[in-house]
Amino acid sequence: MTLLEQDTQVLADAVARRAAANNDAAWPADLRAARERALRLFTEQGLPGTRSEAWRYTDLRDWGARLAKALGSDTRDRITVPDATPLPELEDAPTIVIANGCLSGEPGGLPAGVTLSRLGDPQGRAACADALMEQLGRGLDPLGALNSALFEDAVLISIADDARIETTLQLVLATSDGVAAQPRILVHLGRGSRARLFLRQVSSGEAFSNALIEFGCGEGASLDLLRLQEEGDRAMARSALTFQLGRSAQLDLTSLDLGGLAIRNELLVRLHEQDARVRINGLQFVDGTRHADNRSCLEHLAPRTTSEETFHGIADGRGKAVFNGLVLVHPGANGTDARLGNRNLLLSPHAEVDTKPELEIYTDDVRCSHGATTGQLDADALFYLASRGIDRDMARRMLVSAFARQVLSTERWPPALVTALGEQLTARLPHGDPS
Amino acid sequence: MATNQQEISELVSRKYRHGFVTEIDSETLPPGLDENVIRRISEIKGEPQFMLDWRLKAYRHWLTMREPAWAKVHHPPIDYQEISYYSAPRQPKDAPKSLDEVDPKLLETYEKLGIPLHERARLAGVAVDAVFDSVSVTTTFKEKLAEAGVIFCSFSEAVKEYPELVQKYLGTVVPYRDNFFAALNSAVFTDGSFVFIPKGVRCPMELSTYFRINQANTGQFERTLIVAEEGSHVSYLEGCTAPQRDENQLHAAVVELVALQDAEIKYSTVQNWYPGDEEGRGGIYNFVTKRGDCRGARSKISWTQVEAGSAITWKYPSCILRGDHSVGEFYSVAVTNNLQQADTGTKMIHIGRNTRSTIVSKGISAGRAQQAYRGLVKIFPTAENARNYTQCDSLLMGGDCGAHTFPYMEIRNPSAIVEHEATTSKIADDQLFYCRQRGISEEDAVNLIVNGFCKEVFRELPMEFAVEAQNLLNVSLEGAVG
Repeated sequence: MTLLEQDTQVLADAVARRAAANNDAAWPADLRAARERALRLFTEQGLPGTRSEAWRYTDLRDWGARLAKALGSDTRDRITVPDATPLPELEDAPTIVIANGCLSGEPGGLPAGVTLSRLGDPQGRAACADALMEQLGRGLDPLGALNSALFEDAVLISIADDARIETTLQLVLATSDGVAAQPRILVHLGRGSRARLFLRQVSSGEAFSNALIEFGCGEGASLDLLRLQEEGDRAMARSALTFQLGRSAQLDLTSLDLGGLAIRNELLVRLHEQDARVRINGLQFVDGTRHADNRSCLEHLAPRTTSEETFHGIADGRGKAVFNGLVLVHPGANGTDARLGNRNLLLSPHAEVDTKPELEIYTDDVRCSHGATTGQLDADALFYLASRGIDRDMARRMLVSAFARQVLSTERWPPALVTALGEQLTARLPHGDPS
Repeated sequence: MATNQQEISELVSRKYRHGFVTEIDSETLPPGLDENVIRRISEIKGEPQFMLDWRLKAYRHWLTMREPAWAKVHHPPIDYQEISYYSAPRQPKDAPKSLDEVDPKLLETYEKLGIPLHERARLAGVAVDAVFDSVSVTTTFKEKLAEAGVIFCSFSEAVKEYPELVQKYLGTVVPYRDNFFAALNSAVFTDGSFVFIPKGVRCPMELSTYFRINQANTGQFERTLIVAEEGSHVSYLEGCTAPQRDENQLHAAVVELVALQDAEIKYSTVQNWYPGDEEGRGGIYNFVTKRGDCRGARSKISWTQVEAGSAITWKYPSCILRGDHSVGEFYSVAVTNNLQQADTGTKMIHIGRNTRSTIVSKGISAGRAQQAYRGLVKIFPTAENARNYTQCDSLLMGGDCGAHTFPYMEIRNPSAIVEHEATTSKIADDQLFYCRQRGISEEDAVNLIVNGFCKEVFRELPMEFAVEAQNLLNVSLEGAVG
């Protein structure tokens, strides 16, 4: 047995032991059977290696060790849960906190039209279980299987048909030091509804988080989602966000990855019915020895669907920023319009950027394009600022900050919030190598 | 639109023009592959020991490898024991010294292909090293080239005449361990071309080789090695047509280019192997490894290709930009129709400082064809000020075809600038409408637009090839718009 196989075995055992301790006896039998299948899938396959195309640039060996360790220690007695710093305009926002994979407390002040149910609660169980069964039937990757085998509770947030929710809902995923959390969340937007959701990910110490969040948007529904990932510097976090968009549904997503030691995000947007639209703005920033890997797959399944994605990456120190963006146009999705842009700033001689924008197109009536650039700060812009008496350090800072802030738009979010986020970005970002 | 559709389907269903078989007596080894077959090939070719040793090493390594499965192509499994690994036209003991001595049937084949060897070669000032199946039959203009000190001969001849050069460079760009098909080729290759341009020499003419597969069931395994010494320059043309066959034929070639300091190699290809019929029966499997090594400072390697044929194309002409200030270029037009599949692209590996690369790839997909661009741009930490520009555009004709783009960019130097752009669309209705209302027929309009789409690449081809390439597009595609 090689060292690697040994580790794989240790991990499989730890996962199996934890699954055996699952407190799910009251859950529907078919759901429990599906969890069994997911467990078998994971224990048979283990974590994918870098020879697998989807994991080419992200090595999960350290993740496996962290996961085995966290699963091995007893975390039933929950320790302190890290807090998210309040942001302007959101101090009084109704907040749902998922701490270490479970709903924490009862969120108060949910606006009319928003209901919250969870699998652990007999009242909401049926609704959650139905939605989960549908998901589990769709096939899982190894980390999806891991979450499915181990999640301790699932939370369903429903927005009623035609409800126009004006207040921003806040959803916080918090993970504690030494915990391996498997948050499982379902968000359902009814026909013609509108909602604005602010998703935050925070953690402390050696946290491990593997979140699966599925959004379903009914006909004409509109969702604005802002995701701010500010995990701790030693955290390992993977999140998979899936969106199903109905006819004329709209999604506007802003995604900011600022923290974490090793981050992997997978975004799947299925434009299921005609005239659905999606717009994505993303930013990932790595420094030190941090690693971030963002993947997105935009699937056009119906006529006249539109997607637009802009993703920026900044790599400093010995950081590694990975981007993979796929636009997949299925047969029959005529009139598809898809644009994808990825721009990267490489600020240090030891940092690395790996990018792969992809197009997979199976019909001819489309307009699809993608572009990717990687480079350093523009020498002309630096010179211009220098000629205006701005010192080099300041100039670099301004340019890096401007590059990052391009992904923030005030169009859909309160200006005060956007300004605060912009400031947070600027404070977090490096000046670049001044040499 | 109905009549147009009809015209289109007529055009699209046009039969492969170069589909015929010339019957010539051949010496063919029985199908199968083992060490004895390799020993026999080496023996027939009268090779020195080092070649046999190298072949055997490659073969033993090949046995440990698995056929790659990552490409976006589908085909039934290949039985490597069903292939005959050697077939040579039967020749008198002494090879022909002039064209008059060449088997007239062979010459007839070239006539049918539109390559009247001696006449056109002289008129065009092109030396042709024509490879018929696996053995070089004739080489023209050798003397003229010899005056300039240029060596241009078949690979077998090079192994005998210039073993020290072959030994020095063979496998240094594409090692036998490189990939499954390269290992197979290294073990069983039967012939190919060898070019050596000595220091400071500008090759006085464009060098050209026409490849042609003839025997049914014979895999064709060529190996080409081009070495350009310091300050030299060469332009090399490769073109292929193959006769119509129902069984799939495997073609696994290897091309190695070495450019030393200040040298420049321009390698152009027009590939028109038999693509299979409308139902995807038959056709060539074209699994090729092509790589150039810009070893010296300021060296340049430029690949230009027009890929119109083959049932399956698996090909990534690449440049290793090792020398400081070296330049790599890749210009490609790939056309797929009916059930053809192509997975093609390039790799630009930037190692040296101030290295530059340009990639322009144009893909046209029609019928039920699937085409993919797959490329890698890798910037090493040592590649200070490296620069890459990539553009890949795809044109789709009809709702059942596919076009895919998989560009990998791995950047590890902050002074590098890497840019990639890709677009996919069909021929715009407004463009077509504009041409139609100017009285241009639909067919001519599509012709015009497609040629315009490919112009950036055709411009890079030597003149004779540019003409052939446009004709090829006419045959394969024009009018295939819905």
